[in-house]
Amino acid sequence: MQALVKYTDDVDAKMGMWLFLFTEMLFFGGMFLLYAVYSTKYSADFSGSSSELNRVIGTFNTLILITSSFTAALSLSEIKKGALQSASICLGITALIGIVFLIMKYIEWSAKIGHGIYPGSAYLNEMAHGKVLFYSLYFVMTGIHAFHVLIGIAVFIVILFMLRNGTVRENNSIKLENAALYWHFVDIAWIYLFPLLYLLR
Amino acid sequence: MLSMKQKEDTRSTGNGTLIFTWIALLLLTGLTVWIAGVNTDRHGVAVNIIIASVKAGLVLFVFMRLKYESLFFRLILLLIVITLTAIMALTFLDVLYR
Amino acid sequence: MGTDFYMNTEGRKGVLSWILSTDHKRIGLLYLYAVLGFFLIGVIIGLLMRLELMAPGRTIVNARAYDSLFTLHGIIMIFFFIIPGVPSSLGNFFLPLQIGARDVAFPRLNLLSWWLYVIAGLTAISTIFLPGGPPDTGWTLYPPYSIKTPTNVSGTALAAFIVGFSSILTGLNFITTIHRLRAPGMTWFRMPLFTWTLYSTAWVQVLATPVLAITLLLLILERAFGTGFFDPAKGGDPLMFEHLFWIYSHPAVYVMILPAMGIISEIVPTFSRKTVFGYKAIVFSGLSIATLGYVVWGHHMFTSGMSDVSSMVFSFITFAVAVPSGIKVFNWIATMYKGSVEIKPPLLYAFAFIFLFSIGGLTGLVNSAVATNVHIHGTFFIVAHFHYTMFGGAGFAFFTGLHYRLPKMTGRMYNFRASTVACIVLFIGFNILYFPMFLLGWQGMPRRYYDYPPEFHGNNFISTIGSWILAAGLLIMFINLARSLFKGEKAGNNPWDGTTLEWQVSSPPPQENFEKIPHITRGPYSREKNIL
Repeated sequence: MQALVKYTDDVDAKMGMWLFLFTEMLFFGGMFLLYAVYSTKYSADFSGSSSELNRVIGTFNTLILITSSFTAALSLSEIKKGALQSASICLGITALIGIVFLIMKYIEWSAKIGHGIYPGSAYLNEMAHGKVLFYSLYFVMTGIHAFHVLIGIAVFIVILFMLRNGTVRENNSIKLENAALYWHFVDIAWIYLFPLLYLLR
Repeated sequence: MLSMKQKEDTRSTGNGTLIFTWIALLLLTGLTVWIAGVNTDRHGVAVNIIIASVKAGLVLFVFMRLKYESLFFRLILLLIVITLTAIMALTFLDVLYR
Repeated sequence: MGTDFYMNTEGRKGVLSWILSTDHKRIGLLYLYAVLGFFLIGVIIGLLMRLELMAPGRTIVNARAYDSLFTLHGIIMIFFFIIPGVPSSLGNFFLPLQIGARDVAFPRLNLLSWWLYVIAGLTAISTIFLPGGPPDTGWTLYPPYSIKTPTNVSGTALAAFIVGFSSILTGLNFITTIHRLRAPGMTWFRMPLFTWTLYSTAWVQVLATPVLAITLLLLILERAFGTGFFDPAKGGDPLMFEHLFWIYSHPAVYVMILPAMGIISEIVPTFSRKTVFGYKAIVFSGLSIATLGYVVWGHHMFTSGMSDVSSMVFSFITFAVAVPSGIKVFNWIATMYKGSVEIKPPLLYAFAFIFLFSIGGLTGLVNSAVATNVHIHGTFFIVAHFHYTMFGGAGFAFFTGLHYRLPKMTGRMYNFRASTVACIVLFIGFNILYFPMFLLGWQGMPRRYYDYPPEFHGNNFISTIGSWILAAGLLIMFINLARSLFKGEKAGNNPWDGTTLEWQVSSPPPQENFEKIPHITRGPYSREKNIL
């Protein structure tokens, strides 16, 4: 049992990651298609419901998620310079911001659910069709997005441990790079979700 | 091809560029919220989608380092955009003319 | 060097040396066994369905059970046999060998995708035993019925979701492998045609499967929480499900047929002792099938109430996709022209493929015209059409590929006479089974009904007899292939005088595929040797 010769490199890994992200774009694309069709059909209801969302929390979450994307990029730039300490700090901040994002999401969701607005609720089902669909899209789209955020945080925590034990280091940073790529994609998805859900009025 | 492989990619984006991009993204977010506040018709939404695309472009090319990647990656991105557009257009051929 | 990959267990014992191995050859064989297992289940369900339809009225099962039978038959055959069939088994085994690589780009991801496939398969089977019972919606899972039915639609959707993830991982693995791991000198246009079709297929897998994933997820959420996306009672549009579903499921038929075409494109030149006619035409027609195939999904929805404008557009693009498929058939025929054709079992199966696939393709043109489609939509004509393309096409090409490549995989040769008999029996049984369905459909017999009026009895009876002949053919073929594993003669490294790289290594291939990475100096079907 001889160890296999290493025959792949970082560019392969990065190509795999990009291809995966492209499939993610199409995955979200399916939801955006539904959104496009139903918002055309029920434009008045969509605008009305959109103004009921908490725009302050939405804007705050957008700003911090963009910032976390920035710190993730910074972390990669630092590790390539060999500054492992600051790379770890940047990565830690990214993960923390992710957690804050989820907490805000939780507050936002609980407020809506507290008002009896959630998919399948009797209260929502009595509203206009367009409102039912808007809120269903809101919960599903932000829910799936939040799930992606959760995965991203978990990955970053693993990478932080790898930074500590030396698996990820300046000349072996591909895992960090791929994790950051994934995080940036999560950011891009939110960049589109934000105006579509919160800023329709 | 094996000989052409590079072990790792040492090019790094300067922190100045990253900070500049970050600030630009924050400002664009502010702009988009402002537009939504003053412009209440459907044009506001269209403008906001365009702004979102500019922001996505900044993230892709600077943060995700697409500007350093080979042409292949950019072509695939184009392929995805075309695919999504085609799906949307063909579906709307049904939805709009039904 | 010298030890074949069966010997190298990486220090693991027994079955663990297989299910934990990241060697693409072992994973290819794992897939092969799993895929054949699901094929067997699907065949048995199919035989039961035919038995039920043998005579009018209730024959062996009631209407409810029949609904589950055709749903399970569709789900298993499509998601667990044909879609992963060729790319994951033969593709996994031979892609790295054909391009001169040690393995695929992501071996661990490759193993993960096999595990996901198995988990998905078990999930799909488990719906039979869980409360609620197996789904009764048909494999298309159309709402609103799929939202209302108490059967295990969510479990089935989850199974298809997981197997879709496995398919995506295979696809992105293959794309990266082909882009990055080709041997020196293996330029794009020196790649074997099987690899080329795997490349086109991989793109379709990567671009289409995510749309299925989100569609199924939305269906599950719809059933669990009542989101209303596809529920007309809440303002949702069931046609949006059909759109999203076919945005994946139509390209998926090209995931099934493209690698099949790749197999045939390699076998025809090998047994004609000629280089392939129109190599680039085959490559580009494969790519254009993948492209056009992505934008024709609406032809499944002509009678659904979709707008007439989109019906016309989809009908037109559907006609267009027939052109590159036709080009391939002409290329195969032209390759044989003036070649010294040697009819050995693989070529015989390839002939059966070309004949059956042509019938399937031509009747596809009948379907793609909106006016006739309205007449035959949802009838047995459609059932006959897609069995000719999917089973007569993709299925027979899979058998062709097995007969061509099994000696390389196992190092042993099967009995020629038995496989010739099997091929003839299969071919006869296939036509007796499915041709009457064209007639039935034309007469107006709808699909997915367990009963029919007496005037349809004759053709249904003939069709059921055909199903037994087909099953006998399958039995002879698989027994013969299985027997070769234990009692077959040594096949030698290059039993068919093939020209692509995999025939230049020993049979079965060594652990690392190549002692040193070969240097490619010629096209795939040129009869000069490469430097190994």
